[in-house]
Amino acid sequence: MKTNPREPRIGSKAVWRIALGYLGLGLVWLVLAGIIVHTLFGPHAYDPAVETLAGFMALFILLSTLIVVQEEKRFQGDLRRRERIRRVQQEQALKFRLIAENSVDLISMASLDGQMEYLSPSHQTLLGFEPEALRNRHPGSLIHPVDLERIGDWHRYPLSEFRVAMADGGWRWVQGYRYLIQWEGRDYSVGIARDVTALRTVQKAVIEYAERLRLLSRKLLETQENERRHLARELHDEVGQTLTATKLGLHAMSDLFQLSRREKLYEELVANLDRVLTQVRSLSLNLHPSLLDDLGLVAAIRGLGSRMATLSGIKLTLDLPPADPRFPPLVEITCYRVVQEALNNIARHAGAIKVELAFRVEGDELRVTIRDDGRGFDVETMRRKVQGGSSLGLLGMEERVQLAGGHFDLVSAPGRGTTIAMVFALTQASGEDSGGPVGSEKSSQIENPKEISGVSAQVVADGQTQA
Amino acid sequence: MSRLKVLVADDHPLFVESVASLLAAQPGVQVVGLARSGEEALSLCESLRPDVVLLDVAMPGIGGLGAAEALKQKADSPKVVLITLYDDPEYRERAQEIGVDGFVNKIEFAAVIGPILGEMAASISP
Repeated sequence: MKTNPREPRIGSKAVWRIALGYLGLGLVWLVLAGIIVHTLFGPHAYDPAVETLAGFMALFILLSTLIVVQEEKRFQGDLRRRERIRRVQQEQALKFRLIAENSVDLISMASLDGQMEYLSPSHQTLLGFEPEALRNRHPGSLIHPVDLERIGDWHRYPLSEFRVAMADGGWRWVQGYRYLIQWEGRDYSVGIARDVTALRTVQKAVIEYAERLRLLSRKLLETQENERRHLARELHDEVGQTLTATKLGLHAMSDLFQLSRREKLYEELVANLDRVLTQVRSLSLNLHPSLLDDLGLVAAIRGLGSRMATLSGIKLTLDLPPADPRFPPLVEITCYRVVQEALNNIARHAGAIKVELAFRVEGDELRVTIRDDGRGFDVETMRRKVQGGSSLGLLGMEERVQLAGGHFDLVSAPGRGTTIAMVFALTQASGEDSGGPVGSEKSSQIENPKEISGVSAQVVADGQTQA
Repeated sequence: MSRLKVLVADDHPLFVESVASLLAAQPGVQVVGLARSGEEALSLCESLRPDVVLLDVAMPGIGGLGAAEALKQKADSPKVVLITLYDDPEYRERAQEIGVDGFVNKIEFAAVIGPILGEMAASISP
């Protein structure tokens, strides 16, 4: 900061010197006047002229003294003002220092040849540098070389995001800018930067999550189309064709007169209809498991498990509670679909011989684990494949469990099998009616799942066929 | 010998009618009422006092299982036969727990219902 131009330059000692000077001069004049009068008029010549001269002398001295005192007063005032200004300046300097020293932002000032003039203590707290370690370090060398190339000059750049070096060799992401100031006729570069490492981590997570959602919704649409195609084909090729054949057979029957041939055709037609019924039943079962609504999760999983075991030839061990507690509908359908997906995956990819399916209510938690002794896989590689969108079964399961408020865990390694675990926190209301009598209370419990399963069944049907 | 009074409960009208006409041809059997839900079946049982109730498992409301359980808890319970397209062991197990008197797969209904009702008629009035 520049000095104030109004500041007085004369000190109070000088004032007294001037005053004494005037007084001295007055005395000299008095003595001179006495000598002159004495010389001209003799020792006793008291003349009015002499008196007048002496009067002037006295007046002169008086006036001089008054002027000097007045000056002195003015100087004293100036001195006080000067003191006040100095104090304000001091206070301001302290204020700015407090602001800079207590800032979590990195504040620095350097000359243009790279000599550090000021470094806020945040350099130590944030980056771990001792103040001395940075004194002789070029500010440009603190910025990651790749980022420095992007932002341009080290001494002057607009708000940018870049990495700064830490004492331990690591890097921290900051958002900062540098600008030039002039101080005592020289240019300096001032930098202000804020740590955004945590923010970037969150941002990255959000971006990943958005990407994941995009993948999932794409997969959802694809699966929906596949499922519709599958249903259309089943309805047309299987159910439709069999019914058409049966109708033709019925027409033919009315024209048949030979009883034995009629009976034979009749048997065929009944067999046709049985086949249609079986097809419709399995279609309906795939769309939504009626067991889940009517008998609950344990029964539905037992049914699913035994069907899958029969189909795939896997040795399935079920560890299920004897009673059939009811859980919130979303939890029930989620558990069911994840178990279904997991068993499908095991049958298709794992090459497992034994599968253990455990279902436990421990305290306020429902824990479902599916463990196989198959070939397993590297979880990280699988997750990368998921990120790339090439394998979404895992992602679908995880997403589904999380949507139902549960926790999903997957442990696997090549050659060591795979374990999938889901944990749901149960609220008091959901565990109440375990094993209670079937009455109106239970009926409302059954109605609820139907209502909600209508929504989830669609998702479910869409999500079940991917690997 | 009085005829066996049968109540049929299924939410599918076509099925109920088919069952009714199939049973009408059965000697010694009289269809006394048709219900569309488990709840309706329960209230018709009060007024019609059937000997046998045929209950579809998948009906709205308390459903066949709920109605069967309520009926079987009564002292003078009628015979209860559950009928379903979903013939899973889990359903059969539950039906056994409730203590129903019969469990029929809809696919085999036409073939097996005659003998089952015949047996029931015999056990009611020997």
